Amino acid sequence: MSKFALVKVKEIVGTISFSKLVIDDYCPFDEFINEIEHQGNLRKNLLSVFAIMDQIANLKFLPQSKFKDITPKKEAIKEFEIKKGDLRVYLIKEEEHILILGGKKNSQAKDIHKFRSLKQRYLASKQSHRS
Amino acid sequence: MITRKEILKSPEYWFEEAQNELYRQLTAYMQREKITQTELAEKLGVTKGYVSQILNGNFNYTLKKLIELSLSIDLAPTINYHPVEAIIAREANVNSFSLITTKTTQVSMAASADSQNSGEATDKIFSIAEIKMKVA
Repeated sequence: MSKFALVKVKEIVGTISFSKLVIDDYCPFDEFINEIEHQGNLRKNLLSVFAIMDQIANLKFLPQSKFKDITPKKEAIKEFEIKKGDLRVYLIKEEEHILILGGKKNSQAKDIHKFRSLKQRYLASKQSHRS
Repeated sequence: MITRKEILKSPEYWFEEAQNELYRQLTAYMQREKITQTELAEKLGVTKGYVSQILNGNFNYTLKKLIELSLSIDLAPTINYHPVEAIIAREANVNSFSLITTKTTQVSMAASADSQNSGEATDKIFSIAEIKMKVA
């Protein structure tokens, strides 16, 4: 069974902390950051994404066009999407914000599918840990 | 990897802050005055499309327009300047405070455990206490 862990995101400073999900030493969010940094042309958008996360951490209201609740009906743990240009970041909200993964606009459907699957696996692993 | 310092030194960080603050002020005004986007557009003397753009957090017009919009909702947009290095340093100090407190405890324990080296350990406590004062 996969091992899930949360690692604090030090780059975000605010009242509510941000963590990123790590599955067996693999972090989808870090992979996304590395990919965007490697490509180079969307680096400014990436900095804007960090700025948006900073405002979320500091409990500031944001327009829906930048930070959107994408939780399906009857789902207890809230799901959110951060949007800037071509970039998308998917996160869930528990006691803190948990960054699951990021991607580009053209892979949105696939990324959301992967995001929800990781979320369910993470929540299941937490549940089995408790019992 | 992107660092906190790089984020704070990027125009994108401060630009997002300014755009979204204008969004927040206009949204608060609409709620306070109980008016719609169309009524807000009339009040500001701009088109509905223009208002919708601002409410999407995408304001990027002239500085003069920003001032005019703010004054239209009875707010003076004051702009403050701070040295960016001071902002970075202030955050770093807040984060290192708990670390310093932990270190002090560790050094104190080492000092009481080995009286032979207590002089050296006391020096360490002293220098850490100095840093602590600067932080406070």
